[in-house]
Formats: sequence, C-alpha cells, structure tokens
Amino acid sequence: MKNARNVAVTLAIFVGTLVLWEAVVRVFSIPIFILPPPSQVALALWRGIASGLYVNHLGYTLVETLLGFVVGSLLGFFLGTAVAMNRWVEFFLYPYIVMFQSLPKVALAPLIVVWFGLGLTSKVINAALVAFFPLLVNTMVGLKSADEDRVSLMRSLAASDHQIFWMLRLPNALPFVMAGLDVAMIFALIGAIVAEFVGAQRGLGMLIQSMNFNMDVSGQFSILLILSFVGLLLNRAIMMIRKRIMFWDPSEKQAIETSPEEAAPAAGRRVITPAKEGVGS
Amino acid sequence: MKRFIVCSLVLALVAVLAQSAPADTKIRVGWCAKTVSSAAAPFAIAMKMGWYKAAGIEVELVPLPGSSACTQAVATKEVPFALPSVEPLAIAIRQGVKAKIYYTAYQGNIYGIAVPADSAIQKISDLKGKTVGVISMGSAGVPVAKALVATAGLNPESDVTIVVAGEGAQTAAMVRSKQVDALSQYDTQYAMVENAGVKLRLLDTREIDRYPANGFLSLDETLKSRRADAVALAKGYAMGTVFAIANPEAAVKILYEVFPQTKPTGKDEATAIRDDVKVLGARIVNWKLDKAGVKRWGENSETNYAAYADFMQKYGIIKEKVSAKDLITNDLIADINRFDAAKVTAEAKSYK
Amino acid sequence: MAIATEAITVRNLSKTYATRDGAVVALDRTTFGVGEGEFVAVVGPSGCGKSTLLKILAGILTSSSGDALLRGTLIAGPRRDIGVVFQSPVLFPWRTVLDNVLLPVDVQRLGRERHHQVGIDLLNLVGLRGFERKYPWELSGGMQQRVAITRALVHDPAMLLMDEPFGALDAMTREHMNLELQRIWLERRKTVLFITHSIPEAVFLADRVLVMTPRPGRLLDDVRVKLTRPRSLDVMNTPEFGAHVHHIRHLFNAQGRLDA
Repeated sequence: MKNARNVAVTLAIFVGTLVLWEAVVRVFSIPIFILPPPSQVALALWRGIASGLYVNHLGYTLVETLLGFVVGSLLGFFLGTAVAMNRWVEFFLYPYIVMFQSLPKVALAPLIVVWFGLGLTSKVINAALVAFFPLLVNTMVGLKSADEDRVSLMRSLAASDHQIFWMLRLPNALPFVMAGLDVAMIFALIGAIVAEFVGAQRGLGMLIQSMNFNMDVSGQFSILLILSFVGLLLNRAIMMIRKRIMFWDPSEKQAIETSPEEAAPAAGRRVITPAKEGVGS
Repeated sequence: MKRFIVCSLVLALVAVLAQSAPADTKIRVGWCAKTVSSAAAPFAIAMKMGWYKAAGIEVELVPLPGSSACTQAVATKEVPFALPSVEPLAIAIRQGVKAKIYYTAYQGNIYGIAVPADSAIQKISDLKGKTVGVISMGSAGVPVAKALVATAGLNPESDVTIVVAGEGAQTAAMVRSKQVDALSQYDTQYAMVENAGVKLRLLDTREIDRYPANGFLSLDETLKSRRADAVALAKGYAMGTVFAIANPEAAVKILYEVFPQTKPTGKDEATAIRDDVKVLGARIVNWKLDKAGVKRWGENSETNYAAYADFMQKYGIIKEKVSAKDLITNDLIADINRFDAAKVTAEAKSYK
Repeated sequence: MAIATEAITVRNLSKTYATRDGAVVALDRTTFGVGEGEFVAVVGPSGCGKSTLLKILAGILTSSSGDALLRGTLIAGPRRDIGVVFQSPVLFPWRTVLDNVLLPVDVQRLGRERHHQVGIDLLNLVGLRGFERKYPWELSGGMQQRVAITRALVHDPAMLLMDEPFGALDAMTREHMNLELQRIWLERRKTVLFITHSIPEAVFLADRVLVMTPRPGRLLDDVRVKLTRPRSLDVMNTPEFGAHVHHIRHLFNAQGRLDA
C-alpha cells in the first residue's frame, strides 16, 4: 500500500539507522578499519563511481555473472530434463548429483582458479557451477509435478509421451524453472565474486580483496552497497521476465470461485447477467 | 532457435576470452601477492614513463597467491618471469628446477617480527608461549618466524603458536584486540597497520637483515632464449626504483594512474597519497643498495645469499645445503645497469 | 449379442485388482449395450465399478477379461473417437479457453484451421460466447466444466464418457448444468455414458439407467426412463419422476446397500 505516510516512515527508519550508525562510530571512536561511518562510505562510493573505477570493474563482474548464469542455467535445465524424463539417466546419475549437491560449491573455487587461470574463464565456470543446481533440481521437480488428472486426460486423447512432454509437462514445469532462475541469478553473482576473491585481475570481488589489503574498509563497504544493488536489479529483471511468461500461474492470479450469476469480475468491464449467459442460466 | 542461442553464446564467449595480440612483446610477470600494492610502483613508473615501450615490451603483472605459487608458475612456464622471495627457489632446486634470481629487488630483508608498541615483548626469546600472526600459512612469514624463534634457542613448533592474521584490516583488528601478540609480516604491511593508527615496534632481527628478499626469477633456458626481455624488464624496474626513491609522492601518483584499483576510495586524495608515501618509504629502505653493500642495481650479493642459504638450512627451511651459485646469476647486471641514474633522478624530481 | 445400430457393446467385462488384502473384483462380468445417440446413465455407490467401467471404455485401463466395443471395433487402448469429461475440468491454465477446447485437435493433429470455427460454435452452444480468449482462472467452476464438455465434443467423437462431471459443483449450479447438458445433447445427439451417484440426476438426464452395486461391482438392472423430452426442472416434482427414483432406490435397498 503506497501512501505518503508509509513512504515517510520508511524513509525515516532508513535515515534514522544511518544517523545512529554514524553516532555510534563517533561516540565510541571505532577505528575506521573496523566499522567505517556512513559518511565515509558515501564518500568512498562517490569517489569510486566518479573516477569510473567501480563502473569499470562492475562491468567485468556483470559479464562473468551473466555468462555463468546462462551457461549454468542451460546445463541445469537440460540435465534436469534428462534425469526427469529418462529412468536410466536418473538411476545412474542421480547419486552423483546428490553428492555434488551436498558439496559447498564455494570450496571448489580455489581449484577452479588453479585449473582455469585468473581470467574470465574461471569466474564464468565457478558462477555456472553454483547456478547450475537450482535449475537442475527445480527442472526435475517441475517436470515430475504434472497433475495426474491432466496426464490421464492426455492419455485418453491418445497422446504420445512426446506430446505429453511438450504440451503438458514442460509448460507445467515453467513456474518451477522460473523460481530456479531467480535463485540461479543470485548464485551466479555469488560464484563470480567468490572466484574473484580467490584470484582475479578484474572485478568487484578483486577490488574488495585489494581494498582489504590496503585497509580501505570504507571502500569495501561502498562496494558491498553496489553489489546488493546489483543483486536487487538482477532479481527484478528475472521477476519481470517471469511476469511476462507466466501470466497464467496461480500464484500470480487469484482463482475465482463464483457461480454463474455472479460471473468472473476479472472477466472484465461488463457485468454478465444471467440472461446474457445462455438458456436457463 | 535453441541452436542459434547456443552458437551466439559460444561465439561471444570466445570473443571475450581471446586476447588481442599486442604490437609489443607481452611479458607476463608473476606478482607474488594477490593484490597489486604500492610496492609495484617501479613497474607503474616504467610503464608510465614509456621505458618498457621504448624497449619493445609490454609488462603485465599477474597476481599469484604468494612466492611459492610464483616459483611454481615459473617452473611450469606459466609465466616467464616472477618477483618471488628466494626460499621457494631453494626448495625447488632440490626438485631439479633450473632457475635463477638474476636481479635482487629487495636488497634488505623486508620480513621481521613486530609487536604492539606498548607490548612487554622486547626480544625474540620473549615470544615463548605467544601467538604470532602471519598473512597466510603459505606466506614466507611462517618459515621466517620459525627460523628467528630457533635462533633465540626456542622450539619453533611448540614454543610459539603461528596463526593466520590475514591481510590489512584483519591484521590491524587482531593486533588491536590483542588476539595476536606479535606479527611475522613485512615492511609495507607494518607501515599500513601503523597508518591505520595501530602503533608497532620492530624487534631486533639483525641476523636476518642482510638476507635478500624478493628478486626477479626466471628459468635458465628463458634467460638464454629471452635475454633481451629479461634485461628490459629488470632495467625498467631499476629505473623505476631510482625514480621512486627520488620522488615518492610522484611515484604514488603514477601508481594510482597506472593501477587505478590501488587508489583507495575510502580516503580523500591528499590523505591517501600521504599514507601511501609512508608505506612506500618502508619499502624504499629495503630497495636501497647500501642495505646489501652492493654498488649496482639488482646485484646479487653472493655473500648475503650464501649466508641466507646457510641460515635456511640450519633452521630447517630447506633440508639440504644449497650453494649461492645455484640461486643467483649476475650475468645480466651489467646490461641492466646501462642507464643514467642521475637523469632518472632529475626526471623524478621535476615530475608534475 | 451385438445389435446392428449399437454404438457401445460391453460383453462379460471384468476387472480384478490385486491389493494388499487380496484380489478385489471391481467389475464382475458386466454386459450391456448402448444404441447410437442414446443417453445412458450409470448409477451406484462407491466401489460399484462405475469408474472402472468408464476407464476401460476410455481405453486408459485394460480389462481382466471380456471386451468392450465401440461401433464394432474393440476398445484396446486410448482412441481418437472418444470424448471424456472428468469430475474436475482439468483445463490447462496456460491455454486460453479456445486453446483448451482445441486440445484434442492439437494432440491428434486434426488441423486448427478446420476446427477453429467448430470450437467457437461449440462454445456458443454451451453459453460461453465471448470467452474464447479468457483464461481458466477467469471462469467459475461451472463455466470451466462447460469448457471441458466442449473440449470433449470438438473432435466429433463417437461416444462421450462423463465421469460425475457435476460432482464438484454446488447443488444449484448442478441443476443448472443438468439443464444445459440436456440442451446441448438435444442439439448434438451424441452417444453418452454418464456416471453419477445421484439417482435424480440419472433419471433426469437419461434414456436408460444402469444400476450397479458394489462388492463385487456388477450390473443389477437396466431401467428405461419413460419421460418425454425436453424435461424441465419441474418434471422432478411429478409422480412419474418420483416413481422412477423410487424404483431404483428400492433396487439398492433390496440389496441392503445404499450408501449415498
């Protein structure tokens, strides 16, 4: 509910938190390398953006994230489909999938950097590895979640397995896949940053490392701000895509259970009176 | 449709991954720390002043996590040159690696033990039962700490506890909260911690002061086949060193320009420069030639290396004796020093 | 014995399930016939085999013994000339109403261009004119079920199987839908097998009512409904109607079984 009062309160809470933070740092003389005050963070943010430094490195991190997201999601989707649709694939692959899933992917990052170097490749691979699992699992679950009644309906129409897949299972799995993409995007960002931490010459993660070395904690905070903003933007982008593709998903819409006399309000502007609906309504 | 998307993605990937071929010879040099810091100023200066370009080379610093990783990268030919400390080389030689330090960059030892200024610890033997913080378990600070402790007659394995204090902010925080009693790190690190307001005091470690720290490393075969590149690399660095010693403030400014990520966003420019000049000052002490008693830039003092090799063997950093001749070569020093130091100094002093 | 104009023939049809507690006879040697264009209701309590019967006729369940024929050919699996309406509408939420109606056309590749108008005409017939582009969530339960019925008719099937299609609707909507179904059927005259456990509904809609009893599931009687059409809701208050209902109920009582 957006009204002026709510906006004002939200703003007040935000500003209040900043003021409190600044006060605490000053009153307790907290060293800047432990907790910098918001004023310094804001200055660091300004300097970093104005000099083009942040934008430059953000570009690299974004490319790594997006590439990793695409590669990881595609792989996860295809493998998930193979596992869900083929008993043999599921039987032989699934134990490995579960094992691999339990492994904290970030622990692999140092190996990835050793194998693939300091450049773009290792970051994309690490991002893809982390983004892969939400898609794999969600695709699997989504494809298997087709309503039994709908499957019976298709069978009663003498539909082939192939048709059942394309016309029922796949569209049905879409909400799950979209939810997976949502998570995968953020995971890809995390994967890219972690790999940059391990070893990189470019990117926001590298900058954080560098600033850590140089004790520029205000700078680090300012980059964290940028990262959370970027994460938010990426998330919103996925949600927008989701809204367009999945207009039919029940979680997006309310199912309307009314009798014909009342008619469906969403159906539109005109009120459907019984006389218009047909004989004997 | 799917195939099209996959193809264009692959193409995009290839395009991004492909390195464009430069006109000059591109030289990858292993920088043995994860981040490029003010100690890389000589490189920045050589790049900015066009000295590398004049020699027909383009230098790329490749950050690697520590001297061991650097030495390994040279041994496996991943990079042709690197700037590591000498201990990993001493170990690698035993494994059949044929490489040499052909230019000593830090003539004085940059490593040492530091304690909080108000600490009760006065000498190495006071470290008994205490914790010593290093940057990471792979850092040279670990064997240095252990060896120093041994020189004081203590048992390095049981009498001190070595912990990871991390870099920069972590180290400062741990010292401040007294989670570590001492640090085994190096000159620029200590300067940065002091810049942050945590005062330190260096313990007397004169035994190791003479021992050389980092130098340019390369495989014997590379020194033969790419001699000109090796000379150009080191010469530019030498000139950059002279420049930095003459005008540290200009050096820092050039560093910020060539490596923008070294310029802190959390400080205003004047403070940043002032702090980094202090840090650079700590390294300048060890760049100067009088530390090792040599006359030419990069000259590898056989005496000092021999003494260090003995020290390393005596205190278990390396298992078997290594001769200084196996570690160093002075063959390129003459060519490296073919520049006018006075001219460089003048250029530095007049730099705007 | 098959009659020449018989649309559906069921001969000694049986189905036994193996369960944890032993074999359950869901359907026991059932035999009957349905003529072309006849509306036959099947009524009985739970477990009397009516759903099993429908599934076998739909080709999605195989019998243990006996056979079922549609227009003389054996029903051995899913067929393209059958239309099925389930208890819930089972519409695909990502398809518009018209797309849902045309689902059989898409699956059986009968050609959208030819059947597009058929779908629209049928929707008009069931009273959903103007709703072609709407999505299922925009429709009420009764409207959705009408879409399901339309879908079952779009490919002009030889027989229409309806498994308690109005069971999920409220009583008033249900009465309304009964009238609607009668209207549609009078218009198109399909052969219909209609499963219900409401005796009044069976009597109202059908030409004949097959009475089935459970444990084991079998056909008890075949009652002809002698009421003229079209039947209005008022017919349900007439003594003739009551007599039919009473007769059927009595059949159940005699068996000592009346669950609903």
